[in-house]
Amino acid sequence: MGVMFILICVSISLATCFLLAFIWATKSGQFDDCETPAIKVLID
Amino acid sequence: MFYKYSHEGMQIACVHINLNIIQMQLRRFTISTPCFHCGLPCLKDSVTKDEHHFCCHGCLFVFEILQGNSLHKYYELEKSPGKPATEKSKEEYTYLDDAKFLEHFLKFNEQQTAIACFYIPNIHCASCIWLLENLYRINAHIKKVDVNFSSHEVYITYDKQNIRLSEIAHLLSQLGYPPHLSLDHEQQNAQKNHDDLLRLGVAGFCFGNVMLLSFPEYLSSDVPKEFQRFFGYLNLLLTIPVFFYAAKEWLYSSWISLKQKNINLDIPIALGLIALLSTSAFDIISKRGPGYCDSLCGFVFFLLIGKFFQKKTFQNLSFDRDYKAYFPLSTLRIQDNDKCAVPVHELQVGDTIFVRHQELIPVDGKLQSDHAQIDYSFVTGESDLIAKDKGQDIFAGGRIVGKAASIQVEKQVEQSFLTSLWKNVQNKEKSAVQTLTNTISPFFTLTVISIALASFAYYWLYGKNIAMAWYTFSSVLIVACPCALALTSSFTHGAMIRLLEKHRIFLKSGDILEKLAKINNVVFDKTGTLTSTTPRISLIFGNIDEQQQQILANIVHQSIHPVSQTLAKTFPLLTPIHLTEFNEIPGKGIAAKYNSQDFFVGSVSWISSLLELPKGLPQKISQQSCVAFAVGNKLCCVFATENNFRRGWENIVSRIAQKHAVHLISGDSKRDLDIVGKVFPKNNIHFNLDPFQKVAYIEKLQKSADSKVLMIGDGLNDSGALIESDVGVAVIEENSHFSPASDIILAAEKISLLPKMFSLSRATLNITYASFAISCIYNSLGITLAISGKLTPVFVAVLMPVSSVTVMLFTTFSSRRLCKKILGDDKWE
Amino acid sequence: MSVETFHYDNKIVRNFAFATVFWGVVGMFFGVLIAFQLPLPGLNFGEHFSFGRLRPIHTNAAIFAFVGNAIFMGIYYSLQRLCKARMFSDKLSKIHFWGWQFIIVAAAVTLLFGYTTSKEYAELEWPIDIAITFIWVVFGINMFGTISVRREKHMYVAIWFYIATFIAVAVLHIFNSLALPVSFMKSYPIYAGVQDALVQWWYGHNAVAFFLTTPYLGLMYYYLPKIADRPVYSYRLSIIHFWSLVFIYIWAGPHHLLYSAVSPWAQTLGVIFSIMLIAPSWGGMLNGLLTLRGAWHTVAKNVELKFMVVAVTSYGMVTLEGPLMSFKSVNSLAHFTDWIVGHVHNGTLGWNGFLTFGIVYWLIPRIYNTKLYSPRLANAHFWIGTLGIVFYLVAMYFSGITQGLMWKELDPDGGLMHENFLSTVKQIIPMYYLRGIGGLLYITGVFLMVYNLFKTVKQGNLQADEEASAPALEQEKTKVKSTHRFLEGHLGLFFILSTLAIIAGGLIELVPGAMNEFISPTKPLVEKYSPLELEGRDIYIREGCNNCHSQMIRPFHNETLRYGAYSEAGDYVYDRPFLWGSKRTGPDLHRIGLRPRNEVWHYDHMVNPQKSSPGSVMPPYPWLATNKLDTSTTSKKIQVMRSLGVPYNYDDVRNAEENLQKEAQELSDILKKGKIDCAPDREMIALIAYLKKLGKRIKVKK
Repeated sequence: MGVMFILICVSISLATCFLLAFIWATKSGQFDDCETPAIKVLID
Repeated sequence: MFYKYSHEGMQIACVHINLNIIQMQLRRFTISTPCFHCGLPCLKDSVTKDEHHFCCHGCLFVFEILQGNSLHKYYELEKSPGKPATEKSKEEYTYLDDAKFLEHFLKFNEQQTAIACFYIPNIHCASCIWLLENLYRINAHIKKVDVNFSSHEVYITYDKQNIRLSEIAHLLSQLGYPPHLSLDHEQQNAQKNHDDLLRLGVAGFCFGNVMLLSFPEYLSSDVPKEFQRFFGYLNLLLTIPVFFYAAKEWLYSSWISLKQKNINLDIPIALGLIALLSTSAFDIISKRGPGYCDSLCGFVFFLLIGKFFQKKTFQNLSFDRDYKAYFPLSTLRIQDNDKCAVPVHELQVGDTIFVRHQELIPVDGKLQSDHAQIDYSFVTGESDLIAKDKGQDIFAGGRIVGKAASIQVEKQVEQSFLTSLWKNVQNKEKSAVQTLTNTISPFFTLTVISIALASFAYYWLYGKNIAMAWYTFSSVLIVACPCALALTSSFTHGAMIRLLEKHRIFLKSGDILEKLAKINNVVFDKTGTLTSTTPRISLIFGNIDEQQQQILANIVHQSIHPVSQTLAKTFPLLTPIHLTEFNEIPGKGIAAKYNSQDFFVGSVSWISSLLELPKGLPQKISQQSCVAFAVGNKLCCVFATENNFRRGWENIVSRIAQKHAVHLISGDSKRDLDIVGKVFPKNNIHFNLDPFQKVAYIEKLQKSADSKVLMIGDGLNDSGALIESDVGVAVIEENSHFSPASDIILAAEKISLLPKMFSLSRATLNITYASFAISCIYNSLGITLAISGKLTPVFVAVLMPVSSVTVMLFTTFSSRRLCKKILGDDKWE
Repeated sequence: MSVETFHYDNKIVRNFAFATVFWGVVGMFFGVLIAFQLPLPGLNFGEHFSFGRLRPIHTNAAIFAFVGNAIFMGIYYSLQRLCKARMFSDKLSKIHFWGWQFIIVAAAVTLLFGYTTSKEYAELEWPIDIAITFIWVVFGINMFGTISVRREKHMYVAIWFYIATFIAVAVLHIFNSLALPVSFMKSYPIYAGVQDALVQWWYGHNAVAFFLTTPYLGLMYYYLPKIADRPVYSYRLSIIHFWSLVFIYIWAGPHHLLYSAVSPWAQTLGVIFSIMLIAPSWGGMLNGLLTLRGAWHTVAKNVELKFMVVAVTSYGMVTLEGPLMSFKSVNSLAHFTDWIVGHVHNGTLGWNGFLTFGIVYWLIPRIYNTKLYSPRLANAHFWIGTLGIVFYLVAMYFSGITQGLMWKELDPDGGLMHENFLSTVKQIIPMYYLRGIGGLLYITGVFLMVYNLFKTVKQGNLQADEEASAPALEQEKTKVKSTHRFLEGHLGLFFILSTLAIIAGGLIELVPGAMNEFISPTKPLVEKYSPLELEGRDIYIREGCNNCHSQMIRPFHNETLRYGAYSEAGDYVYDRPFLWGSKRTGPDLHRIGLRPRNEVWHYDHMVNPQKSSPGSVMPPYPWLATNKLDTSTTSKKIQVMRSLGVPYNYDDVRNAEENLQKEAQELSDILKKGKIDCAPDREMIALIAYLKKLGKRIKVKK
């Protein structure tokens, strides 16, 4: 079961990567507007 | 198609259908070709180009611009997406290049590039987004445009050496997207917003993973020692950011309130958090147990959700407007026979300004033109026009009707009569809301701390067991979760704000609901509040056929008199005709000629001087507010223009009067006294009040015997009173985004819900009491276990989320149920 | 400077689209073939085309070739448009495309020749694993490069799903593929037994999550609104969907190992998170379906939308079914049966397949600047395909539940009602035919699509470089602060960081203790494999026996009655790789050595299963009796095992071949007594040696 240590560490690190991505995205204003992108994607 | 992407609640479509047979007949005319650009029906002499029909040259103009820049896709994305171009000249925007305005509108300004932010109400569909984002194709100096559909804001990056802001604003208005220029349109505080979201994200992440690492422990007993320790450390690691970052606000706020020696709700929260963290860290590091990290993270996460939930921003509504919102940003100054637009704040005493039809007078001054007609309804509520002669004093806030007037400035904007209204009331802070939770929290905190101390003392002094004493002490602090206190108001209020929004009632903040329960005096404004801003036209005598309707329409559309304007709204212009004669006689009416036949529209007394009135006319026809229409020498019909009292207004007032004292304060003359006298107590009816007197009235009420006053009104004339009152309710007609500073914004057609708001606020208090009771049950259970020293982490881990979730669900669902029960769900979209 | 004109690369999209269709046909063809191989063992055509080798080819072709290419097709089309930029590098795109096709071909060839690690969805041997890593990195550079040069500030939610796919698959692939090579095409995993199983299913589940789900959710969020021409129901919800998914998605793996030798608390962990996943999954599904609210009439007219709707509905069904199946009570019935097969096919045929078809039908005419040749044919494809799915699912659910119940059924005396495993197999043979028909229908639809697309492509012209223009994205200037000053300004943060460092220290102190146990098992209760048994085990792996035979007896009365004492973690300490299997088409073999089957029976059974067990669906393995055992790497294998911690001594390594021959000779003699002439150097000998030893290796009787 020792491998669980590794798996959990890897999983949490992976999740932490996503957390960092989330922080970056929020700070750079990716979630400021939750309506326009949905419409803009329809226009090529 | 038009409403396809429209946001719920944004379209406060206010289509009052006056039960008018005449209009029903008119329906047939409206089936005509829709304009290719804007979708409005095209008239007979409409313009045609490239097989497309346009309702006006404005639309054709936009079409040609787009065509010329190969932006035809605009019309492919949506059918008839446009709005006609506005006829504003370039000069009218030049004031935007003034440094003060640049500073306001530019979000970024360095070297070559600048980014401007405009608020454009006309954005409504995918085509709008597409066109605005492709603006660079029309003008190469505009580099980039970003549209925020939800807030109707556009961010324009441009080369400021080659194009000026005024030119961009002009281009936008040419395309049918005039920016709404006002200094009060505040940018939402983006940075703050990010923090909230970040905290929620971090807490959610940590909570999710801590729960996961704790679950095995709850559910199976065979977790090996080394894994228990491993999970413990990981949990502690994940809890650190929750405590120090996500929960920072509560810690900080309780520190501040401690310093000020007053106990608020944040103190028990902070106490609980500190107890949870220190006990957990101690347990984990000393290998005693798994700690309470799961409870801590869950607690903070739920608190943050509650906070987030309550923070509903109505992006298009502003609850804090001052006079700047009402006044134009610029005006035309006459200098050396030359008119040029200058920012209003630059006007000096002695300057002469030029104000055109329908424009607002921004300053106090003296009339220099010979005559002027001014509509002061915006300030006083009185709808009749006021005539002024040369040399008379003119106050800011009036609208010029008819001929343009030149006015000499007597006072600067900041010193004008009206702006002093704000200066006086604004300094007063509204009484802080003493909400139920705030009242209870010191009591709660003191109880918890004394229980904790008592159990500590008991085990220490009698039991001689210092470890046990510490254990029970911290256990009590841990388990006495103030979550119900903290979550109740945020979830009840959050739910209410959202539910009321569907009924077009917009609350500035949730605690207004609690304030409402304490109101005992309700003060009404009349014009615009109890009545609608557009007077009602009703046919009280005679008949009018379709052809006559169109002739009447043609006549009244050429006149700017308010009565004509009202008639013009009732009779849309469908078939333009050429009137051979048109003569408007001030104070009397209009004489016109078409096909060598005479037509007269005007007051009954004037008409009766021209021709003989038939017999059997109703009594009230002699009233001033009646309009007669004569064809040749025969009276065709008589319309009555009445103050259009909103449907069921008596009912609204009398229902409120059952439990509250009701008052009516109006700037209008006494003409509706008979009508309002039936409902309001005679002593409480006051006419002819100017805005200052209104404020004074509210002040007087508030001083007398602990009364809490709700003021409901609209427009500039009530704004002082709205600020002064304990709860100010602003009534808005259609989606004008324009309401005075207030606590509640109410769509005009929803005014009937006002009495129900009081029931709702009492119900809200009941919900709060009930959820306090729930939390008392959980807390007494927990504290009993805690002081007996039997508290286990698993129990806390179960109890905490269960009590939080119970409170969250209870408050959310009971709010929903009550809201539906009280307001009725017939208006649900 | 502001407006830039650029070209979208449609050629790479076209290439991936064609590859998708091509490999789809191949994968589905093998699917249909193996579906019929079960009721008709005569369809096993010799060594390279027997069920055991074709099944991994089918799964790999369906997942990595068909779905993989479809993902790249979808991403390469949408990413360029969402970023308003051409793919970062044409060269990388090309390397990615051809590299991926090369990997697929290499996979197909090696699997046919029996080079396999036996781990589901990770069967490929180490050189191909390295190639996959390389190509994945190429894809990553290309994707992140495109994102970094984008001209649209906002990153649409689909891009986030693509990023999550990339990162998660990279991590999973690397950690699951850690192995020590023996030779060019043979390796042993660094984890053994239970550890290996945990890693494999942590990977296996997440491969499903991050290869078959997240990228497809990204595609759904792009293509469904595009095809329906209306914005997604709630963009806010889609953002919440994404983050809640990635914050907790990677935990559900252990639910594949319920009732196994994995510790119960780890199983519980898996179950709970499987159940928690219903929320984000259904959030996504509802968001997709609600996009069409008020526009359902357009679905009737629009065949691409029809595919989309069925796909999203399937997703909803699968993501509800999955958590349900991870409930222990449901799992005890469903696990090892055809229900699992039905479950995954609901996902692949419905969700992945139909979403892909919807996209392909919409995308090909666009990049060829034409209209779809025949919407009616596409409609026919839709209905035939849907019928195929229904046939398939009904057959599998029925057979799964039937077999699961029959295994458990006890007679009044407490014995097994169906003592003979074969009687439970014979019962479900009709369902196997039905499943095959479902598959045939599904592939028929695909052939219609191939024709339709062929005609569409012919009538149009590829717009290899589609022109577009957009203003450049101004990089916002941010104030640069030095880290030190930043820390000074944030004393609180400094404090937090130091606390974090202390706790991290505490964690590190813990890990070595755990690693000890991980590297060398403390109490080996079992004997290690002899060289002959080890070779036999590798043949077992090569022939894919674990596709149909589990080696994991669950702690249920009926299973211990049928197969012997339930399996425990200690049984597996030398198993590299673990061979627990996921499906019991045949009986469990973990204690087969204890059953009254002698060497002669095994020989006969292997050469002609139907003769020794009439009605058996097992393919014959006559070549095992003739092929010569390759002993050239035997001592190397022992040596690798030794370096992985198996207690072989130096003599074991040196004398490996000698010991092997000695043991083989003994076995050959035993067979000779049973009047079977099998030379000691045949593969059959090794396999029988392995099988005879299964269950007999426990040293300490409990």
